[in-house]
Amino acid sequence: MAISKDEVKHLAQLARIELTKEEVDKFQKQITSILDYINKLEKVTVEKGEKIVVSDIENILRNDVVKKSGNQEELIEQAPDRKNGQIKVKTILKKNETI
Amino acid sequence: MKLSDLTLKEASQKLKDRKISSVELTQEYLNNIEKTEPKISAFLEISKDIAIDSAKEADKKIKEGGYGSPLLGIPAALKDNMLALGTHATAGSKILENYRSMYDSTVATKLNNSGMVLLGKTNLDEFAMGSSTENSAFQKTKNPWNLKKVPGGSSGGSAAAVAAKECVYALGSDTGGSTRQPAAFCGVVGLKPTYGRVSRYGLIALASSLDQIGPITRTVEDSALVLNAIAGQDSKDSTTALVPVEDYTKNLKKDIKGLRIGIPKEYFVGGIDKNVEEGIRTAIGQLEKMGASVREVSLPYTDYALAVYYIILPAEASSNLSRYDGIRYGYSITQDDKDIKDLFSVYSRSRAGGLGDEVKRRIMIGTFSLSSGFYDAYYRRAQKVRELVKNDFAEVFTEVDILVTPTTPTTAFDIGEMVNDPLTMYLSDVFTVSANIGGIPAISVPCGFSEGMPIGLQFMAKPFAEGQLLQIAYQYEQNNNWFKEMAKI
Repeated sequence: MAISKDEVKHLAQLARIELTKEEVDKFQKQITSILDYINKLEKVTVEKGEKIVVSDIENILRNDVVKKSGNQEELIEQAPDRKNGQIKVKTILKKNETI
Repeated sequence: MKLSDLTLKEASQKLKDRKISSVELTQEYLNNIEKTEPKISAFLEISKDIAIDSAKEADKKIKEGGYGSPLLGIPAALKDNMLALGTHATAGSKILENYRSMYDSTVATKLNNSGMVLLGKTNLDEFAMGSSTENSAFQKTKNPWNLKKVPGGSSGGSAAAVAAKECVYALGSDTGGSTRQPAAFCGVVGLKPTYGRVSRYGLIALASSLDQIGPITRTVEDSALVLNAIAGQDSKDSTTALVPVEDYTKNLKKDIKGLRIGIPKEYFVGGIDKNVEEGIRTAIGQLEKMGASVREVSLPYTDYALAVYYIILPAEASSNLSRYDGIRYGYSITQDDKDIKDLFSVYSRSRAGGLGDEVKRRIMIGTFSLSSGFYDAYYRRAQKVRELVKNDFAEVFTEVDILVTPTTPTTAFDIGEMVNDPLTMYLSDVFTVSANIGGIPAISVPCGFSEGMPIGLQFMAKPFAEGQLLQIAYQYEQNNNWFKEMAKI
């Protein structure tokens, strides 16, 4: 199955990865060849129903007790952009915009 | 004989008997690293201070009569996707180049409690995606048997370090063969335990339904000793099993008379190097002479396992790796471009600059197979075929106890040979992925050489039958001398 350049760009957008034009060309070819390979699964007859269970373990429960985990200051210190002990991000709302 | 010629078992006996000290042993390994690293490049970080401190502590403990574990005072290395306080954890990625371990992974905690001397962190394919360690953002590790060849991957640094006597043992992680394939390429022992046997808390996640941590060692007995220390249920990883941990060294010395071995015919159809096949056939003949019964069996869905793997892995990886967004930790484009204005660009340009090609490729494939319109045809179908692969194993293990196959279709390939051909690189995992798909334990042990490069023999067993798996691997190993062959660097 061939995947188009526009589809590669769309996937990159969904995955939040900026691609150069050369990368789009390269990944289009490579992803197409990988999809061709994995498409061999079309040949397998599978039953209907949705069993997507990997582990036989279920419902691991614990008491809801507050525990200290990690040093907040050290954790925040690893963030690239910080202000007043908090992680700083770019504006996500435009001026005069409300939620 | 040099101290670094000793296996884990031998070194720990000498430490226990106080014939050698951990500081002596550690110093010899640090010297080996200094001498060998310029050629092998197995380590991303060397934690000399931590090593010397732990070695002194181990010696003190032994002196005071506190000898408590065969791992006490033994120099080891961890793959750099495992967190260990006092070290970085880069996962081989530029996006985590400066990331410091914020806590100890459960395996690090357990090994520390056993008295590990941590020499450093080993190289890997970025986020453990690859089969050659060439995808590391930092350096290319060389195969100690031939510096022009890859060490395999993704735990290539761990396997090369063990083979080059830069540590006694190392941990790797195995999502589709990443401990077994490099162990085969480097002539050492690589174990992938049953899914849920070893906690992944503090392991940087690749594909959570497949990932498992395992030891890379010089001998099978050493592998059992390390597994003894790291196995077990962990409240911090809900996928760990409640199945009790046995002493994995207990059955090693029992002979294999009457053990039922299955040879899956689907593993011997085309694509295998002639010398590799011959090595495996010879090993099977030996196992039969040693008293095991050997029969051909069939795993009909084998041919689809790799395709299943390359749908499920990218899907889970695309989700797990969404956390690297340039906001909370790791590389951010805001460090290089102060003018950047919008949040979307911070995400997409941080990821563009911080992630390598293979990672981008797999994230996009995973995004594709999980996206609406393709989910049923790819991800859901792959999960259903996964059940069929698992059923194959469940059925065959009613007839036999152990499966024997090659670990890889060929011996180590040349550095650079497959870099631009991701699909061909993927095919080198064709014999190892099924064990991850089925969640069963598997081990690779050396079984000979082809043109000077080691060949790996793979055993697979029922879930949680590590005892039996290690027993047959040990019996095969001791019946031969391959494990005594060491790379000359």
